[in-house]
Amino acid sequence: MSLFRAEDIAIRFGGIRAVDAVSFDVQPGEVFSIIGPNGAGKTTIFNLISRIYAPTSGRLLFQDQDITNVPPYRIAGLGIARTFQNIELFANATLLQNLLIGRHCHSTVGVLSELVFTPAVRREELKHREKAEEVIAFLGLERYRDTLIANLPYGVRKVVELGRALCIEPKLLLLDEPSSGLNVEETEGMGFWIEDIKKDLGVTVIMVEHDMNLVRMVSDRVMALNYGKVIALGTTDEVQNHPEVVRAYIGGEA
Amino acid sequence: MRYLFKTDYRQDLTIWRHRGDLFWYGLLGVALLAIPFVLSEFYVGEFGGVFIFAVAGVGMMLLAGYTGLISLGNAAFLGIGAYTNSILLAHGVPLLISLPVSGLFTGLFGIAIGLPTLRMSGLYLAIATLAFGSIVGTVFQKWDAVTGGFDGFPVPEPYIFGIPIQSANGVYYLSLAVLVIVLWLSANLLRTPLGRAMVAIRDSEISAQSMGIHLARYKTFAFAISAFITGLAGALFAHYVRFLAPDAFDVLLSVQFVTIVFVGGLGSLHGVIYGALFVRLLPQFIAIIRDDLPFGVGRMPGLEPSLFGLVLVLVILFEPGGIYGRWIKIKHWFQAYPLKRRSSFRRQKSYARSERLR
Amino acid sequence: MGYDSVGFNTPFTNRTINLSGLVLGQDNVSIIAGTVLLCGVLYVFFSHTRLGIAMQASSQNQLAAYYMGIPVRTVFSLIWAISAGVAAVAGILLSPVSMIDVNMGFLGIKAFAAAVLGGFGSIPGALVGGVVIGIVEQLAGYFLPAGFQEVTSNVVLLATLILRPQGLFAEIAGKRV
Repeated sequence: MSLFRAEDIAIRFGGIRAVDAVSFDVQPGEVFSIIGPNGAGKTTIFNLISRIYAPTSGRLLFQDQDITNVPPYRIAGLGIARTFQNIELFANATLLQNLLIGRHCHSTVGVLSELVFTPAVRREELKHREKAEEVIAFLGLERYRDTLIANLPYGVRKVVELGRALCIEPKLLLLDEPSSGLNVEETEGMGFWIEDIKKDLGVTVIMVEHDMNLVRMVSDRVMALNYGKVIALGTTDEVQNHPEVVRAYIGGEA
Repeated sequence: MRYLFKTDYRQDLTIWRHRGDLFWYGLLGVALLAIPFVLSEFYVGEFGGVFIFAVAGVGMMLLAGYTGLISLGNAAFLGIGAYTNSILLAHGVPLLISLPVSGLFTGLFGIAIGLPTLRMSGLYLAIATLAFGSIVGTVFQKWDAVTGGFDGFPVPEPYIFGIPIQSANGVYYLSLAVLVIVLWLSANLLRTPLGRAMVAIRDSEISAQSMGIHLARYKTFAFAISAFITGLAGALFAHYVRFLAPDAFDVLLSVQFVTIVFVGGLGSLHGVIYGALFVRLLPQFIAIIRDDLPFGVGRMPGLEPSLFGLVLVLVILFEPGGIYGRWIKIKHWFQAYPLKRRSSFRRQKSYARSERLR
Repeated sequence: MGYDSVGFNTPFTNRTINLSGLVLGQDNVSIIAGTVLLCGVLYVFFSHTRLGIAMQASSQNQLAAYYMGIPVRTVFSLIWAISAGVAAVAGILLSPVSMIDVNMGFLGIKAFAAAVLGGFGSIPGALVGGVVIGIVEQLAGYFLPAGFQEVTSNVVLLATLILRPQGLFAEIAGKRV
């Protein structure tokens, strides 16, 4: 039983087919990477899964439930978390507040109780704080806890982005170019975290990535895209040596 | 210099930072309660006005400072609250009921303006709220049957358990009570998921949605609660001015609310208090020095609005943190002495960009 | 003059043109002609001169404009100057038909409505927007009960922002994540 399945999803922006009849499925507990040259539609697929865009055709199934028409704010509650390529953190809030916002989908108290801060709200707040602290401990972010995001370096922000997604306690984690802007050591660190997420937290990961070393290090299966279409799907070695993939990256006769 | 050593998550949940704060707030409370016994009626009335504007400022702060929705139509909410309260009182409803009801009724208008404007942001939202404010102002003028139009509406004298409220002392204590309640509600808001959701919407709508925040619901709620609080302020305002004129609730009043929030310090409740003090006391200050100003400047009509505008521009240019921001810098300077550095508060340059294509 | 209103006489006042049976006041015609001329000049300026394109660039992405060597502060000052100048010309064009008085500036809110209806960023749009609002106001005064005419421009403004925020002629792009 696959955790997530995309069936023939497609989206057009005017005349451009950003994603064209893409189908793939992701097994629970695996790390599934999506690679391809720039503009291939990889982030667009993520935006389709998070429902920021609506597909023009096709279906998305999460745990055998059709999520093609679910509104975007329901996705977190279902257990799907994502990070953004260009870091969409809340710049004027502290790191801790960002992580606590990540806990929002687990909030059970009503708005009116929050206004008067009932004891139930207080208990929930303490629980959210404990969970956020677990993520901080997991990622080693203690010293930045009360710093405003605007004052943090880029590498740390990438990690906070990951932490915020983990606060959702997701079953499926979408990582959009987790290593972009990171140096070799930081990328290795990211790779270790992804492995820990897979093994210790049992989270399934779909990753869009350009860095083939990272892809090789953590992925179970890889899918290659070009111009919105799937050109290869299989294990890392199969895809890397696929002639279509080579041609897409390096060029050659069409 | 005091260093705050935290040992419990509960310490992060409290409204005050540490025991010392509690002491100073307590002292402030006692001083405020004692003022009507010490100062003359004129000053008590002025302070009442400050409290009322502070309540309206909190409404504006929740909208602009925390959710990032700039509204130039909050004067309309003030007016709706004022008229609703006066009309209810004229029909014999006791004050303790008409006050919250005016707030709730104004809250409905907040929802009415919040829902259609969900997709707007920044400049467009400001214009839309400006238009809304104008429309409501015109309705106040034209709907004679209910609001009395340009003849005005005398505000009936209310009683709470037999004590008249119209006097300056009554208005003072009532506004102080409402201010304290509203500040408590807002402080609660900020330490709960609701307040964090509003901050998230301000900073990045798309990732807020990915965190499970229902944008429409929270934006509408921000408008509703801002309108509720401003409506309460309006109800108190009716007792402060005692006679309602429809053209008092125009865009210039909305700009005063924006000034309160910006000059006081965007994003903090302390800032609202400082801003309200500034906005209410500036006209008094102008009145005092008016005759001493050179070149007959003091006799020009429109001195007040132009001075407001000038201060607003100067604050935005030179001290975007407002009065509260400047106070924090001064406090930090004293606390860090002699290790103070100019660069602790250097602002980052930011560049504008718009999403227009053509 | 202080608070009093003053009249304004132009070479066109109180004279009419007769266009095969249609009688128009010459000052009204001069206003229309002046507006069209002004809009034509502005349109050509913004789309075909380097300074105009630099202004559009600075508004769309300030940092990139700096990188391209555009003196952004000077450009912004010039934009404010041009805007003030255009508003002044509008005031001059308006004065023959309405008295000059201290509260003339409140027309600016209707100008907002016209600009939004036409679409921010489109000069022909602002022109069309102004015409539409003028016509709708007159129709509202005629067909709707008394007191509604004043709110017409605001209602049109709100309706445009709610239903079609990009106005008639401009386009808005969403943020790409």
